[in-house]
Amino acid sequence: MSAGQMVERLDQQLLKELEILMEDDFCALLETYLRDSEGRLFEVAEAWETGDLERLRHNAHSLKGASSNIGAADLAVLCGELERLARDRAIERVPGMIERVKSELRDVRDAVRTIRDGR
Amino acid sequence: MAVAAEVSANGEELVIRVTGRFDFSAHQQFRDAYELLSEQPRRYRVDLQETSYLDSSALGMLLLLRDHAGGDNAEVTLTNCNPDVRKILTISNFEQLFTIH
Amino acid sequence: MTCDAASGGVRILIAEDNAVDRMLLSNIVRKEGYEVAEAVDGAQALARFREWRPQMVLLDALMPGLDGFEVAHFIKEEAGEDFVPIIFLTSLNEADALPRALEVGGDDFLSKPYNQIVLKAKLAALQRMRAMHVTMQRQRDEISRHHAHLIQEQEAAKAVFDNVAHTGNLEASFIKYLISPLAVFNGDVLLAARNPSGDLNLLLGDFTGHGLTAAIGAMPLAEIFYGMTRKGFSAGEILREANRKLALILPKGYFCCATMVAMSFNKGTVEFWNGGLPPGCLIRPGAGDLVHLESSHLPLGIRGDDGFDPGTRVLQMALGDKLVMCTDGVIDARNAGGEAFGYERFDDILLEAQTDGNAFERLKHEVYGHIGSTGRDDDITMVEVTMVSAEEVDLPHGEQSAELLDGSEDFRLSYELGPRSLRSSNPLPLLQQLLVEFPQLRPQAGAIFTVLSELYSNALEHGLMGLDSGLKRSASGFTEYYERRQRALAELNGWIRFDFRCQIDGGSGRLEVTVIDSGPGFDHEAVAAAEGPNHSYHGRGVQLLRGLCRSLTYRGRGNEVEAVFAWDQDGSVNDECRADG
Repeated sequence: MSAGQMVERLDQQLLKELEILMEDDFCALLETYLRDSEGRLFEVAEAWETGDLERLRHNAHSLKGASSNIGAADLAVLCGELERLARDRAIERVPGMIERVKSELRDVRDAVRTIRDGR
Repeated sequence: MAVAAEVSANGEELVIRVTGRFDFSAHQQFRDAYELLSEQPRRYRVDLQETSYLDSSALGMLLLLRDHAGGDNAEVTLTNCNPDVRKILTISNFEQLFTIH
Repeated sequence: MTCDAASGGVRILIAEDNAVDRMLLSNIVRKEGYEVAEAVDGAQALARFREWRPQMVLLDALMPGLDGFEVAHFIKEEAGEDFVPIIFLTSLNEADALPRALEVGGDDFLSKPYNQIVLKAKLAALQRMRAMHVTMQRQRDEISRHHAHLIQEQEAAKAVFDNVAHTGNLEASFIKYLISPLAVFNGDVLLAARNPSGDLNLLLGDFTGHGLTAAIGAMPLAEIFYGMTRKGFSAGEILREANRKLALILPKGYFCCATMVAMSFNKGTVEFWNGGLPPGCLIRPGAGDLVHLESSHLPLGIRGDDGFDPGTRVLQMALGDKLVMCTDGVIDARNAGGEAFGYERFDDILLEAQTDGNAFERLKHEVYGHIGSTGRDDDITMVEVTMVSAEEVDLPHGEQSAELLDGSEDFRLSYELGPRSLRSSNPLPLLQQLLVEFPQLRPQAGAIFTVLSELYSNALEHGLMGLDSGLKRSASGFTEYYERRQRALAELNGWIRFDFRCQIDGGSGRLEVTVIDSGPGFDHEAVAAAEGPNHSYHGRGVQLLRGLCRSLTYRGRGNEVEAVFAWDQDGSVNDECRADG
């Protein structure tokens, strides 16, 4: 995937607005997202391993919110789907959805890093 | 309760009509009816045709109007009283202060 | 970004467990000029709320530990009457979150991704609502403070008024009354007191408006009534003074409808004046029609002295006759359907009462029955007075007896009134005041004053005016008599003189009073002879006088009469011991 493609994972218009809003804190916001999303993903995996669907759901919900706020709409949709599966206890479909979230998140994180490094 | 005021065509008489219960709630409207006029008329007429009831605070308002209109020299007429209203005016002996038709 | 003046100094708490969202929100809110504090979970949110007292709260619904709904519940509870708007950070499409958020008092919602413009608009709207709430609260508190203040003042006014008004004599077996206040202080006034000759003065008044205006007017009214009654002034004189005072102090448009009655138990008459109250009723057991005490005057306090007419009417009252009076609250009392009690019912009930004599209880029962449980919209005050014999009047006299003092007096006094004085003033209060200056005379004050009044009216009405007391034999003649008296007074000529000779020696003494008029005199023997045993009114005066003093002697052509009072050390009075009144 090219850098351009990666960056397209994010809503460019929304990011521009965020940059204006956050000013000097823009990078800190991106850093926070990178740190927070890593933690959430870890939590999701661990919750699945220990069979704690409530914890899984909560972390999927949180990742959904943060992702939507930095313009990662596709990722937010996947997280929302994972949240719903956990709530509905559709256990057989959870591992597949975790994988999709993981893969999408990797791309999003790469895109975020690219933007951060570009500043 | 509603108060309507109208100055006659020649500007000599102000007619104030009170509809419904004439009591304390009419206080401000009744005062405004004669106090806010730019030119004071020579005569005043309070038309009580549509007045269903009149209490002592209404009597007080009539006294204030009379005072405003010149006290003992005032020309204030009360017209078209229904029997209940008439009775209240009679008991209070207001015919000593107003011309009542 | 501009800093909105309305947001300056307003504290907003952001509770959100997600670091990215929290950071974003803080930035948006801070840029709007608000002060911001952050919390990462429910427990911290509550703690920060308690210590920092934010005015608005942004709350994430799903937080670990204490969730947003629980925090909101506590915040609303602790905020009490204060309006602390809460915006839930949750998506409206999270179906189960919505009803819970509403249930705990959420005021608005914000979904992700956060839109700056939407959030700004929501904050501004809630801030306006909050400001409005604060204004309303302040105004409400101000109103309730004013209200409390007003109630307090009314209570104070009532307490002061009670001190003035309740020195009167309402607790007598022949007086029944009912006063039901609408406000703390009722616009109705009921005053009663006996004058030195034992007559009962009673005044029923209804001030326009309630509360302070009524209290302000009621106080001088009560003082004038009691003060002048005690000194023996007539009803007309008391009313004239009351009217003068009220016209002076009441604001324009305020007045007092009143009926005053003066009942003479000795003479069996009632003198009345009604200005603006519903007609009182004279109930004569067994009689056919009611006699109405119609209002024929303007209420008190409307016109100054010039326009005031103190003219009273006098009616006969036999033993057992009753006088019933009420304020317009009784007539206007409305039932559930808004229908007034009315004059017709009032008269019907009293007409029925003529057969069984139970006027007051009947009227009270019917009025309350009419009102039912609707609550009253005016004051209900009514009073009934029954004519009793002088001996049955269980009320103290106008002037309290002072203990006998040792001391000697020996004086003569002459007091002559010319035509102008006779027309315009009443000499009796002055004489009464003078005589009660001597403590030794006070136990006799009632008898002395009654005799003085009677001798004075004989001199005036018969001696100078030449009125025929025979007129008073019939009810219509009775009225005519008083009308003629009014006319004669206006064109009066001549004079009346009082001569007092008093000798007091310790506990015993003697007072001689001679009343002389300039008239042609009258045939007192013929008048005395014409007296019937019980059923004539005109002769009672003389009959009464003979019982009240040691001796009563007519001299000359009947224009001169001497009454002698005497009392001994042992307390016996006028030989035959006779108590006051």
